[in-house]
Amino acid sequence: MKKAKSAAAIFFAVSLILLMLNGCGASKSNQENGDNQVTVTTNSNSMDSGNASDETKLADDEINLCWFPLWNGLNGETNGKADEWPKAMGKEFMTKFSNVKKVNVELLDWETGIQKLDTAIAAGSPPDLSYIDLAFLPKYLKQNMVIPIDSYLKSGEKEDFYESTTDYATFDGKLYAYPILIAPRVFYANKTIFDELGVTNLLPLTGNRSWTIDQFKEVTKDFPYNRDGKKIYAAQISTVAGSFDELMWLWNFGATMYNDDETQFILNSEQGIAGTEFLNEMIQGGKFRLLSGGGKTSDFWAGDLAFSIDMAYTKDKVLQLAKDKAPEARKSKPDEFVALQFPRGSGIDEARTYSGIGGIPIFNVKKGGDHTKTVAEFASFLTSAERQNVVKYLGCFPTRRSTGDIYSGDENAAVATSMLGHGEDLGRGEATQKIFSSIVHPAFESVFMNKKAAKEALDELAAKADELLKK
Amino acid sequence: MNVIKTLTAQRLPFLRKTSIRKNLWGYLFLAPEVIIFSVFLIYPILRGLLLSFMEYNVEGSKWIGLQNFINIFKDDLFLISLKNTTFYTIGVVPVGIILALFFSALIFPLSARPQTFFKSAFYLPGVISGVVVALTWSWIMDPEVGLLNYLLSLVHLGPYQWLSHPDTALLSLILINLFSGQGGSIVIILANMTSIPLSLYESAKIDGSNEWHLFRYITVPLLKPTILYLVVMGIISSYQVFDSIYVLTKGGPMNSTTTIAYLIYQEGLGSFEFGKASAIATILLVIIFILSVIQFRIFKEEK
Amino acid sequence: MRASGIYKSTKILIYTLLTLWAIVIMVPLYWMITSSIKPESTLLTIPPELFPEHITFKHYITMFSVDLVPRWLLNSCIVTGFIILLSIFFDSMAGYSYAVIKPAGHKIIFIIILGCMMVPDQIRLVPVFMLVKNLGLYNSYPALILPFAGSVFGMFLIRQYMRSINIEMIEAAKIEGCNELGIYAKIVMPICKPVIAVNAIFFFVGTWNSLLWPLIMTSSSEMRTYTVGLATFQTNNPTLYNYGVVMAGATISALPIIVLFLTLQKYFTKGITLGAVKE
Repeated sequence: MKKAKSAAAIFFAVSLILLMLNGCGASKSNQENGDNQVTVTTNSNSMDSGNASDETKLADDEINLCWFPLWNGLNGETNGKADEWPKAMGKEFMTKFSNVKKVNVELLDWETGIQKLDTAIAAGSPPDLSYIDLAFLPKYLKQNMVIPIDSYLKSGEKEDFYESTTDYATFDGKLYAYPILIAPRVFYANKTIFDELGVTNLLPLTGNRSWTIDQFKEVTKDFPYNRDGKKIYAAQISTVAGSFDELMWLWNFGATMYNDDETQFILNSEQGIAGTEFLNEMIQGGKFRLLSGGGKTSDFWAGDLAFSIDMAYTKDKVLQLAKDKAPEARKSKPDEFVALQFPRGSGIDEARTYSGIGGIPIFNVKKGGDHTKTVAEFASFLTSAERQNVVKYLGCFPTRRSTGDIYSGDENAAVATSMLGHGEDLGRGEATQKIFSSIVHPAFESVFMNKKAAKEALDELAAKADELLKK
Repeated sequence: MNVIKTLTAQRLPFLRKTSIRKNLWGYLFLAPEVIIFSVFLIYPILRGLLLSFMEYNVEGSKWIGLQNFINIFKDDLFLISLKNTTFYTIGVVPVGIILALFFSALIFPLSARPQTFFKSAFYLPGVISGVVVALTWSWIMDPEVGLLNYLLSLVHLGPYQWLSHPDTALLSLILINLFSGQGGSIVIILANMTSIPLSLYESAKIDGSNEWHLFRYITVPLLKPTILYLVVMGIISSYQVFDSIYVLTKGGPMNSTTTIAYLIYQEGLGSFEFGKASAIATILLVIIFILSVIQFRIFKEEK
Repeated sequence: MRASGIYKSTKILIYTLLTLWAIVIMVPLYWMITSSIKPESTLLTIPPELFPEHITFKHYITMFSVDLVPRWLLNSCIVTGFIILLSIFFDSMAGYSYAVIKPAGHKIIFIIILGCMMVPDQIRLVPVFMLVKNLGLYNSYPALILPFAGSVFGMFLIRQYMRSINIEMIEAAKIEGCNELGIYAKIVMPICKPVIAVNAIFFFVGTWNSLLWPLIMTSSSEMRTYTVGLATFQTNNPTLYNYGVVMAGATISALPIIVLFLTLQKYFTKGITLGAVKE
């Protein structure tokens, strides 16, 4: 027994040592999937050559890019992989810039990927670049974890970006990210449900698809609707962390989160209270489903809801979604979906929507100017005009004027564009994230669960938010 | 240990030698684990806890003394999380252990096959990975389409909001734990019960004891070390409950399921306020430590 | 010697109670397995379909069509195997030291280590990440194994169990000339089989299902463990993903554990182990 144990112990000790000597156990194949070890070898001989171009002056380099599942394949093919596009971009970049020997693409998932990215950043070992929702940029800013890109921009590049996108990433006069996509939301309706109810004529299907809250109330009079034994709600309001459904409605009542210089939280304005009371009325009346805490979300594309807020997908993609998600019973004739503007509250002339802006910041990896130059080149490359066409597969809009119109007249895109002029965002400061992560939703929940009146809850929320803004 | 004491007392010159040898052996056996722990457990934790007194910055943290602690106690949310976590622990630990003891007592006397069957039935549901458990329970407890409300409706009860309402969310989490987390305790108790000699039971039965007496006066006292283990481990793990909240409720609704560990996550990776997060963890450590010491006293670790 | 006669008067009641509780507890497991073989359209119906009418194995085929799944399973096996073996050795040796040898200062060391359990994992997340990177072990098997090659709760469990071992037996062995290693290997460990079996199962489950740590320690898809791969695969292959596939993946994940559990039963089922430690 003792002998066997010692033998086993020795065996495992040896194996361990062997494994450790092997360094990283990453597979030998497919270098692109390789490990995140960054080794920068300074190129000692090509520092100055007769060649005037920037590229050959840069040292041998390697770039680490983190990516998230945005679009599949190279052109949004449904059976493509989520990391095909960034990898292909990496390859193309390497042919243009021969000093870059490796582009490592790590694909993260939305659930745990942000945690992982944040851990790496907090530990001081960030990737060079990552796609992020620019709403999170302030978080990295405060610790100098991201580098201003102004000095790396080419001439005319900054002006090429739409102002709203660069504004969103500008702090203290410096620009901190290359914006890559704008994600406005549209208001979808499941037309088939309304056909079944016989009220399709009440939907704004012509012109610019604009309508009012009163028209909306009229069309949802008979909800909840019993469809084949399933209860169908008009819409869903999710107060789970990370969502902002309530705001979409409140914006269209004319409420805003902050005053102009973002020093005061003003969602508790009269319009904000009116909007909140409207939502509460719909929830109490059983027309809106309140999703808070745990619970399974209703899937609009599977026919569970009458209305839903989602990205401005092309008509083709909507057809695809309809087919993919339709339950067997309706597969032969999937439901028909149409994109509408948000219903407007009284006194509001133009509908508003949330436009999330995604972009690529450059993280501070402390490797010196030449490396940063190369990295900035890559970021510029990824967000360049010709390559922005692909964002349409996500229902997003490009951030550069030079990209032009990528949707060429798609109906859904037109609806989104009409609301883009009045895009709203979640605010830009550091405090926004804190405000959202802990105090906004509980305030609305207290109203929707009849624990507080709208005015009281919103006033309290404003007081707490103002305190956070002061810091 | 009396034997050794008498032996060494008689042979005083050997006292030191035996002592040193004993200690050397002791340390040798401790060594591998202590080394791994020192590197990967103690050192990182100390580094982490030290941040309690600092304002974190990736380029170099700044010492700010007790400021983090002051800020925490001023924060409503911290007190809420303290309340939630304590409530959760009280709901989960005592009830859970009693349930585990109860079912272990029922299973133990059975013959091998039924024993294995029931042990598996009670333990295996707990081995499903967290994400799936969460998905499954969020279906089961869904107020609209969930299995639980459906079954209750058959006996004209409900429907309840379970995880979607601040009044019931924490309770739902406790129920989820009780209904899926006892398998491990049962397995541990049963394993320890195998070391109780049957002769003790036999002689007690001859003296006229019934089943309840056997359980109460033989089984339970001899299981004391095990129960201590379960209570201490139970307190440690339920005070740190995080996974189910992260996957199921994300702290809501209305912060009714925000626990201390979830708050740490929000402050830490969420807002990058690692100093504050560490300070909360330090407070948590102190709480759990005190509670554990109390447990050790109650169960009077001797020998 | 069997003790099955002890509760004979209430046997039927006992079986009923146990069966009822077992049914309640097994609902999620049952749900998972049946969902993995139900066709997609029947998955989310109201009322929920308790007994599948149609069965399909399509979801399992989809799972294995993802090319990295076998590699992920292999990674999980390697990592879990090493962690179990190392942990059992280290924990039992340490437990023996705390419970039997009791060298000077053992109580303090024990308290410090136990105290570490009382700190939430997130506190050590960033420091350990930095440590692993600095040691050059990032994205490798050692990074997935070494930080977990020893478990506080496993060590604690063994310590408790060993404390109830009869001292006289150990003294007798010492007098006969056995040194600590001999006593550990020949006398104490065989008695501890039940607890070791329990620990083996718990380590297996804990490591196999672990999500956050293996994710943080790896950056390439090939190095991911099965659980991590499964979680990321869902969001990265949205077309292949539906609840049925998730459940199929989870069922595959649960299978090795079930097998291991049933295999190790003989070590801690009453009537088979003669744990006569107090005779």
